[in-house]
Amino acid sequence: MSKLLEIDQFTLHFPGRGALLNEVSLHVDDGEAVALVGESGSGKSLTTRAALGLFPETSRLSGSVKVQGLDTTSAPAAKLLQLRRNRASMIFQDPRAGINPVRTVGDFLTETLVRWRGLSREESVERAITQLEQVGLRRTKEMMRQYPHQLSGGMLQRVMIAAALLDSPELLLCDEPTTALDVTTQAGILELLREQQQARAMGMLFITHDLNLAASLCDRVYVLRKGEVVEHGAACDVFLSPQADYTRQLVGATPRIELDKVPTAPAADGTMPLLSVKGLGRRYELPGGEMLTALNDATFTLAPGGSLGVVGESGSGKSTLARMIVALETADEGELAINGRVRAPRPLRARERKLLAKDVQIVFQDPYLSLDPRIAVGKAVADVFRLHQGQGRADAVQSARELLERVGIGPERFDSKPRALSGGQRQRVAIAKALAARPKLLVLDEATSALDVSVQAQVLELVEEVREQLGLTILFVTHDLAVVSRLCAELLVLQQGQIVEQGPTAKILSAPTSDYTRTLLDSRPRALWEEQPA
Amino acid sequence: MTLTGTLPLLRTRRYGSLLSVTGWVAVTVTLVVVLLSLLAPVLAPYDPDFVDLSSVLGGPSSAHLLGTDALGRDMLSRLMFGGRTSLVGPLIVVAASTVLGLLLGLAAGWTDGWISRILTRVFDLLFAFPALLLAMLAIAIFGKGLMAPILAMTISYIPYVARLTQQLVVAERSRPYVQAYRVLGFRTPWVVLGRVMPNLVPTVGAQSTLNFGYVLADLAALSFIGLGIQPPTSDWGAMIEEARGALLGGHVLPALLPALVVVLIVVSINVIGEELSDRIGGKLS
Amino acid sequence: MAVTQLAAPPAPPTPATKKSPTAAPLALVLRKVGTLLITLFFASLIVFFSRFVLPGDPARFLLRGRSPKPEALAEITKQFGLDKPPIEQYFTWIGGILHGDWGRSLTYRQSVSDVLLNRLPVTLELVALAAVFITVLGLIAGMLASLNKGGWDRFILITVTAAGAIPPFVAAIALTALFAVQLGWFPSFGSGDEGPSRLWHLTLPALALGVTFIAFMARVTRSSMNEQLTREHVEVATSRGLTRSSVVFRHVLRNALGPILTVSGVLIAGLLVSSAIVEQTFGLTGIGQLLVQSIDRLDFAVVQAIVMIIVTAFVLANTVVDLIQPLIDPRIAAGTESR
Repeated sequence: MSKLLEIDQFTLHFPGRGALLNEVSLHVDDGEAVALVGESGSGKSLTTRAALGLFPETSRLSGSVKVQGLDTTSAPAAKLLQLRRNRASMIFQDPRAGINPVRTVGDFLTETLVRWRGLSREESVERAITQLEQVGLRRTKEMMRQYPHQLSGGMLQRVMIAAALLDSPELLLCDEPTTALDVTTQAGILELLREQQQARAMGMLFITHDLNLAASLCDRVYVLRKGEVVEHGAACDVFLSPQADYTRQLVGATPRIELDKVPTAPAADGTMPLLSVKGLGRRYELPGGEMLTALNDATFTLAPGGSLGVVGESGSGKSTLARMIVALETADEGELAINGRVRAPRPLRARERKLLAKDVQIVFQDPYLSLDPRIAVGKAVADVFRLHQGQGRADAVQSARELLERVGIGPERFDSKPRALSGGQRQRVAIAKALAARPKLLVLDEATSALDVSVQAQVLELVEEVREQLGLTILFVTHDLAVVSRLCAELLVLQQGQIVEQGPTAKILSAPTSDYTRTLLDSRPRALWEEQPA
Repeated sequence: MTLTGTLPLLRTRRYGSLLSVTGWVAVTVTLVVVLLSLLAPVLAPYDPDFVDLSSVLGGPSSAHLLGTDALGRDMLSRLMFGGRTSLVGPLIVVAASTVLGLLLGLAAGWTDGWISRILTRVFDLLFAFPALLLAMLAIAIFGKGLMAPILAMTISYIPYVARLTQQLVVAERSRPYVQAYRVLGFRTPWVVLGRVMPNLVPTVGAQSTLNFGYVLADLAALSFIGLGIQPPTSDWGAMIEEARGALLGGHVLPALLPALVVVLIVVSINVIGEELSDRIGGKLS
Repeated sequence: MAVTQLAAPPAPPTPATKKSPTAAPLALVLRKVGTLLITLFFASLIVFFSRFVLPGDPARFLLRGRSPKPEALAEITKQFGLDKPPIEQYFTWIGGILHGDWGRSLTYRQSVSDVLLNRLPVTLELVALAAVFITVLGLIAGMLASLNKGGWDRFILITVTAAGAIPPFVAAIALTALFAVQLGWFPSFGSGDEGPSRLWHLTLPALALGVTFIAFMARVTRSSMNEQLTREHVEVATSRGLTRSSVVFRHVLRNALGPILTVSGVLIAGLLVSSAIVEQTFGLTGIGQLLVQSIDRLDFAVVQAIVMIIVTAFVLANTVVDLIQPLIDPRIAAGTESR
């Protein structure tokens, strides 16, 4: 049995600091698809780059990383070049960052061919075009002359894959290639990768933070945590009966659609809906002069105590809707009312804003940018108490302490600045800030999308807790159906500004009426063993 | 979509001290020069204008620590008093242009209507006039001396500060934390002045520190060619000019000393300004 | 499979990826030229009306330092049309400029344009030579520093920090003292005759003029290239097996040009203005020296003209830089990115 990639007790550290990778051992055989699963800081990217001999400057290495017998930790430059050119290729996470924006797509593809394959310009172009077609792209001749900014993310990632396949590598390394893409696009890319991997009998090392993804693509899995392999084995074994605590935690935290766990909406008792939206629409003018419809004719209601999930991909208008609800944007048409108060069709005045703040609050997606970097988190929350509950300084600090405790931020962190806190902790603070205003409706705009899986699970738990304890109404904007299934009794599906389906979550997820919803559901990665006949 | 944190792991960031060793050396040098100039009336050993033709172009001695110039005047005293003139001009320019630039940049960056547009156009127009040129034009109108160039340079530097402020404000406006303030119902003036501005001031301040060096060099240049400070008051630029004759005759010190001081101060200020810029850039991420 | 088929066709256009109607190059150029003209117009207003800031008799102002005999005042008033309303005076001036008549110099008793044209070549040559030094030395130093992290980088960084703090007049004095007086390799005064003599005479002045800017250029080049080196597309290129030199040439240099080019526009302003100082110091008969002398001799018509020339040159240079940017970075041409 030939080992295509063999990493043996590989350790990487910077002088004077702890090891980033600690005695990592893994292997990939010819034709085998292996997943490397880990959260941020696990070292998965470093490990993969090691296979190509890409090590950070000034790092110290020990152990070995062998690709077909060649040890990249000690190989001479010429051999490394050969390895990168012929035997192994890597697909990077963000194709927009990975392809030189000032050169054409054609240039990107052919530069390797011309340089050392000795192919003429015409031949290289031919090869490139064929490869582009093989990865499912159309109008490839035109595409060769285009620049990266003219193509969509999905198309660019296919270009990146084409480039990686051009040299017919035996080992394919994939560094979270679909993380930056929409779910539907992601499904296509994954399908393509699986196809190519099988057809070419390539060994593949696939990095991801998503266990579901790993299970849908790979036979074996390695779980990495803080630079160490904590578990490995066949995907179904690791997934269904994890041995290590961390793996158990990870599996538990990975969101799944479980129809029996979907919350139910409060009984309709004829009270006025908390949020009422009729025919809401918003258009933008693009730099080129064209009009883009962000949202069109949105109509729905949300009863007090209810929970509504707003699901869509990028460009669906879900964020626009969320922002309109909290008056960060003004609708061009339609009506929006909270607690019966109809929103004025113009930007709000200061007094109106203050009143609205007691009705609805928002938690944003980016934990790094949603807190003022200069202000201690305790003070930030206390300021809200002073503003809205009219409390004096001392009282506000007390209230802030209590609220922060409740969301899981202990008193020792009261005076910390945001940069001293982790992503999950910052989101908790953001939630506390929002809750300090005692809103009736809490809007969460992809509030957990930027967090690691395990952290996401904790924050979602917090949201559920808080909702029950405070009787909050929730509007959760997300692209993830599984998250919605866990938290929201009702569901709204948006596609390019239109509501294509709405109703009780359980009903929609079990029997969707819209094609788009069906596509969304089908695009979710399905474990390999689930696809095989029982 | 997880934000992977590998990059920060690979970059070494200095969290402890505000400045590096070089930075602190620069601060020390600056402080020494500033203090000596400030306290010149008290500390200087001689009257800077006291002509003593008997000890012309003397080298360093126990009587004159840094020697004498072509008119027998004590170099150390002249340097100290010269510093007062050389340093005060850039200070006024930088302080005034920073304050005004911040305010105008704020107005241009926060508002969306005609105010913002007009201000941006005005900045663009002023950018067409290099500071030194505007200073010379001002001297042509108002006469020689430091008042005209100081006024002119303040006006020329305002757009630089303002444009930077404007860009920062525009960027901050769209940041979630600022939007959170709005949704939480905090009043806009408070958000802008009390929360957004303080976040910008360090960056703008670091840039202004760099401007200090440029202004100092430009004003000294004006004095050097005779358009700036007029005798009998002297500044470092004028001192260098006065020492040209001595230089051509082989006496290096009277020209070298003020030149060294100028270069030393500008280097120190530049180092401090750049380190602060780098440091602040890393702080907000 | 259904999923692949749905995903295979090009994704529906979303705002950021729609193929923007590339602003036709001609429209872009016209717009930039339009902005240029408007800026120049307003700049000329500033230059012309600046002297009205000073209260008092304009004739007296122009004749400061010269004998203000009543007849002389009357003569000047008539000649310069000072009794006419300011707006009319402005249009006369502007009209004159566009026809090549820049007024009369009080010092030289010649038309300003004659005096200027006489001296323009020296300044242009000085600035050009300095620009050559700056581009060659600055770019190379910056690239070396960026690509050789170990030895060269420290050394260049320190040199550049020190050099950047040496104002042109200090550099002028230092270079003169060393190379002209001590070693006698170069002349310390005068601009020499056309040809090799001119070059020899201009070397020290050009170096003195360029020192700060060489340092600046080196810094900007270094930081721009450093920034590019951390970009992911460079890592991707390396991972595909391109040699280091290929990676640098194909993926770092061109991408780094943008900020360097922008900075060049600003550098030109600095060069043009500091040349006045250097010319004065070295006794070069260029328009910079003329500017200084005219300020000294209170010859305002000349000052006005030279300031206008320098401002025009500067704005022109910036416009050219703006027009080149889209050629380097196609995203700018498409309007989806702004530098």
